[in-house]
Order: sequence, then C-alpha cells, then structure tokens
Amino acid sequence: MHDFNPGIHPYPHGLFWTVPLGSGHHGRQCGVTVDLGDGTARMRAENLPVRDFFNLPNALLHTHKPVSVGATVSFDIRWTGPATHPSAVTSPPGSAGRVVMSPATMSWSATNAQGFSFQSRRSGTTSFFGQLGHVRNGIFA
Amino acid sequence: MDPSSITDFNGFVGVADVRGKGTARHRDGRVETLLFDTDMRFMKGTYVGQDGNVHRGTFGFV
Repeated sequence: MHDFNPGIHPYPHGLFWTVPLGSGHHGRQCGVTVDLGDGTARMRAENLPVRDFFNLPNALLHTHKPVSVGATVSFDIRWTGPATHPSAVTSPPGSAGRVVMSPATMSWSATNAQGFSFQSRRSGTTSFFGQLGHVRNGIFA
Repeated sequence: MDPSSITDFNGFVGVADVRGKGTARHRDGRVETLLFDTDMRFMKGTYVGQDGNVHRGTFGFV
C-alpha cells in the first residue's frame, strides 16, 4: 500500500496536504485553468515533490519508522462540464459560495525513492465525485 | 460544503475523487495491478498569508 501526499506543515496542526501549484513552482506543466461558465477546469502537475507515507493512518499519526520516503507525483485532471445547476455553499459556518457537480477524468502517476512506481490506466477509471465552484471563507465571507 | 483546505480564501475551487486501477512496478521487477483512490482539489484566488497580507495564488490539495 502507498499513500502519496505533501504532508502536514508544521506537523501535526499545520497546513494539511496543501502546496502551491502556480506555474513557475514546479515547471511549465503545473497549474490550474478554470472556466466556471462552462463548468470546466484543468489541474496538472509534473513531478511534484511529495512524500510516500505508505498508508493513511501513518500519514496522519506518523507511526512508522521512517515516517515517509521521498516521492513525486504527476497528474492531469480535467473537469468536463456541469452535471447540476449551481447550489449554495452553506457549511461550515463562515463559508459561502456556489458550486456545481462536474465529473472529472484523471491521469495519475507516482514514484518513490524506494524504486516503486505507479501509472493509472484510462480504462476502468471513474469519477466518484467531482465539483467546481467559487467560495469565500474567513474574512472574505 | 466548502471544499477548500485554506481559510481566509476567496476564489475558485475544484474537487476530484477519481478511482480506478493502474500498473505498479516494484524495485525487484514485479509488476502488478493495484487500485487507486484520489482526493485532489485546487484553490485559485486570493488569500491572507501568514504575513497578514492579501495575496493571489493557486494551491493544490494532493
């Protein structure tokens, strides 16, 4: 089993599995484009540095020694269009906005420092949940 | 439900929970089919940084 994510910084109460993704951070093939009018978007990255924590409990509780090994992931995700009319964001308290359900397709691959690699297959890959929208929270809500 | 993983944020968000199969290659040469499940998100817009100032940026929840 493998669990690839950027980690929690600082651990354990810091920024959770979230990294900058703008162009220039990790190369030309990294970034996000959005057309909310069409309900479409694309998110991609190439060789994004992450860690392999091997499983979710260890990623959260850091019980393994070593906790993780170096890894990279590459992905190309496309939201292909709205499947629902916009609905209001009402939770958690302090958040607002509107979202639509939008199915996604994804190509995803990973490698770790122990010589493991993984490449997703197009066939048999399904969008279990996809959503796009515009939200405001904190001081902007 | 607000899917963003940062607070003091105003902008576009996307969530993709995609599941499927793929090809795994191990260091010893073994090749096998494994299942995968992703929770991938983006946040693109304005946010308040740790410096207290408003910035524009794009983040991925990976």
